[in-house]
Amino acid sequence: MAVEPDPFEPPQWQGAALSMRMASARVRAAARRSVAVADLRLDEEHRLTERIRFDVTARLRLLVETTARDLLRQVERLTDDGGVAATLLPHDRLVERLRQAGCLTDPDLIDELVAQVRLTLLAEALPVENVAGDAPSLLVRLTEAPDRIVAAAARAVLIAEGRGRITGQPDEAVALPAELQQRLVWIVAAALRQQDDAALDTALAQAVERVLAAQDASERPLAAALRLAAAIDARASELPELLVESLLNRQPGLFIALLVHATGIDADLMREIVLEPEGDRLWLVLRALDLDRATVARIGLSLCEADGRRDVEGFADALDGIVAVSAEEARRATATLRLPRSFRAAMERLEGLARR
Amino acid sequence: MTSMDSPGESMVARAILDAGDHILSADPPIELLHMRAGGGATDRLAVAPIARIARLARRLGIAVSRKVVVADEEGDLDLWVQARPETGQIRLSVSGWRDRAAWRPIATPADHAAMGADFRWETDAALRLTFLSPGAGQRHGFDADAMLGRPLHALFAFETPTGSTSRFLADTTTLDGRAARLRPTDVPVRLSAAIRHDGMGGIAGLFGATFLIDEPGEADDEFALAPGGPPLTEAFTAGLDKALRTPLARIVANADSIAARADGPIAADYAEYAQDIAHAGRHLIGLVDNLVELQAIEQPDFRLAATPIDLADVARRAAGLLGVRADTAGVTIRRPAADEGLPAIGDFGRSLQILINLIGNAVRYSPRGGEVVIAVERDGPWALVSVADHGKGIADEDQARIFEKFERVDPSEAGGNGLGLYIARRLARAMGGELSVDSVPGEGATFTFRLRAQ
Repeated sequence: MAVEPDPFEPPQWQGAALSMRMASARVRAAARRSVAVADLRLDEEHRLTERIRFDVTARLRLLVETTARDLLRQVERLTDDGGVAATLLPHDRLVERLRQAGCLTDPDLIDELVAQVRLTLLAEALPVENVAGDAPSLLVRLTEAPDRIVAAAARAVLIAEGRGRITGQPDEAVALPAELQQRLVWIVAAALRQQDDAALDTALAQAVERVLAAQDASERPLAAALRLAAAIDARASELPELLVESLLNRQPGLFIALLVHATGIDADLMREIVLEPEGDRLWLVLRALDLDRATVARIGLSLCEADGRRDVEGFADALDGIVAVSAEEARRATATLRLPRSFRAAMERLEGLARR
Repeated sequence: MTSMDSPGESMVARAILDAGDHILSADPPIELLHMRAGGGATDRLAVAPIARIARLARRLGIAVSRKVVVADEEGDLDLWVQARPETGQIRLSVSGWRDRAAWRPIATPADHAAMGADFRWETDAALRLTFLSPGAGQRHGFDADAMLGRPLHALFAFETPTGSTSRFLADTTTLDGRAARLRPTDVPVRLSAAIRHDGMGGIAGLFGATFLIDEPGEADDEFALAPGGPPLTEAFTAGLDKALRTPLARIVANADSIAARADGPIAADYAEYAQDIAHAGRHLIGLVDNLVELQAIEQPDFRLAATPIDLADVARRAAGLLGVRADTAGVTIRRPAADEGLPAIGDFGRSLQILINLIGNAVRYSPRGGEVVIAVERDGPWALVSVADHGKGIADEDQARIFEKFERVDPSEAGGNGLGLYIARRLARAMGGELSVDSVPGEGATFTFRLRAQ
């Protein structure tokens, strides 16, 4: 991480200011040293790739700037003052201010964005295969399903998927779960204010409430896919084919949603399980659904081909062992995954797995 | 030179392996690869990347399809390999059989939005729309959400009927820059698209870009510089030369040194990107060279030196210069015998340039194992050099077109910028000669360059 110059007015090259310059140079040097050490200490295997770092940063910037713009619009309406923007921190300095204050490393926010980016990259990298012959692909077929609920839900997934891609267009925001969205909007509002101004603060607080109220819960990531999976309500005999075809059609979101619906495991956790390169938890989840060898092999092969961190030879070696696990055993082994989120988090904290 | 019999891109070669990866039966191309890789008749399949896929398919118990690069004597081959386990055996089908794709200018970059496109779209293999750029509907007056899942032709009306899906897809090369109308608003657009391949090299869908056409009539002009456009002025090309050549040379030099890892180790991916950048840069430098030349030869008073030259000697030299490229492409060049001579009147350097262009084209369009024949002949007052290949030939209606600016013998082919033949003909005429083509589609083409004999 580069150390940015101090955003505030730098001291002059005179008198007492010189010692201030020396002091801040020392602080920067120390920061640079510790960042270098921290960077080199990172485990190569778990380190984010440049692409993920870049995409996460871009999403974060987009989120902050969209939120700030929404807030400003509301503040202008509330104060009936077009000039109010001048008294707030300019948008281009907002991200930097939040970053320096450590507000952009909210672990839950980073987890969410990294997972979103990894899922997008997975979708791009999955090997495509047209299993339907001359028929349209899975989602398109579903939009034409006789069941109108399924058809509408499938169309919503196609639409949401298009919106989910980062477009760089200012009117396209990144979807976040409600609780993260709420934290982010408040912190952006706090970063916007530059000095005490009771009237402005009141307006900002009201603007936050309005922005949050306008949030549509259905906009959260994977929501459309989850609704589709619920509408399909796949029978055990239909599930294997749907799972395999969703991956072959580059729809990992639908793949996750189908598993969520079938297992009752929380969507965020299921996404983490599907994205982790070792795959151990996923193989057990698949066995808990009693999926056969060929289905597990197809799913494993697709994911291995899409993610360079995965080891396809290791998976092939392990496959017999995985399939030998009975569905009952697998269900027992994965039972904790179905526990409430807070309970799981508490257990992880006790095991010392939780962050810091 | 022994050169592998090239089965062509569409051919699928098959083989069957036993439980120990030994070849039970194999079509000649696979057998040849196996032998080239050092394998004997009773050995395990010696082509490592293919053997790896076969083993993986056996262990997983499912079909595995992958694209692999296999080193062949003349270079690398891109192959689509599918291994299917069946009762203890592995059935292999291998398609592709083409040299690694050379860098080519494409209208649709792989990702991150076609530059400058008004909106992007994607379809599945059945040409149903699966993606439209967010906001495209609002900006261009159609209901994008309702359009998803509908056939491509529900959104675009093509000037010529698209017919069946397969015919349309087989013809996607011509979709580049293809004119169409946005059906809901009847606005003219230009489309460009690329095919997304599945693991067996089959078609899994299209991803494309839409460019709105502002000027009426632009639909007919691929490029602003196409015939009928304003002539290039000297100031323009001089400016182009100055503005582009230096930065391009720097880009190429830097990209080459990144690709060569001159400044230290980098990930293989990045080295490959750098190589792509260098290739693209060289292509652009070539284009600048040609545009500068174009400006000179398009002057009405452009004339060339008329000195006595030996056209047979010029042809032999041109063939010699292209020897390495021909070897790489597995093509044999038959040049005029060393004792043959053909006196003519013209400019030595320019004649050499024309013949390099003709022979280079012939090599490019020849199939692997093919032959390019260069013959010299005196015909009354004319001295003739002909360059014949056995490529796919040029349709009658295209024979005039290829001598025009920015036209290509085969627009889908890599390399070249569509200026070579135009310049060659202008040069031939400036020497009082002529450049013509004779071709039977499917059998090859013969280009004849004539100059006045002494």
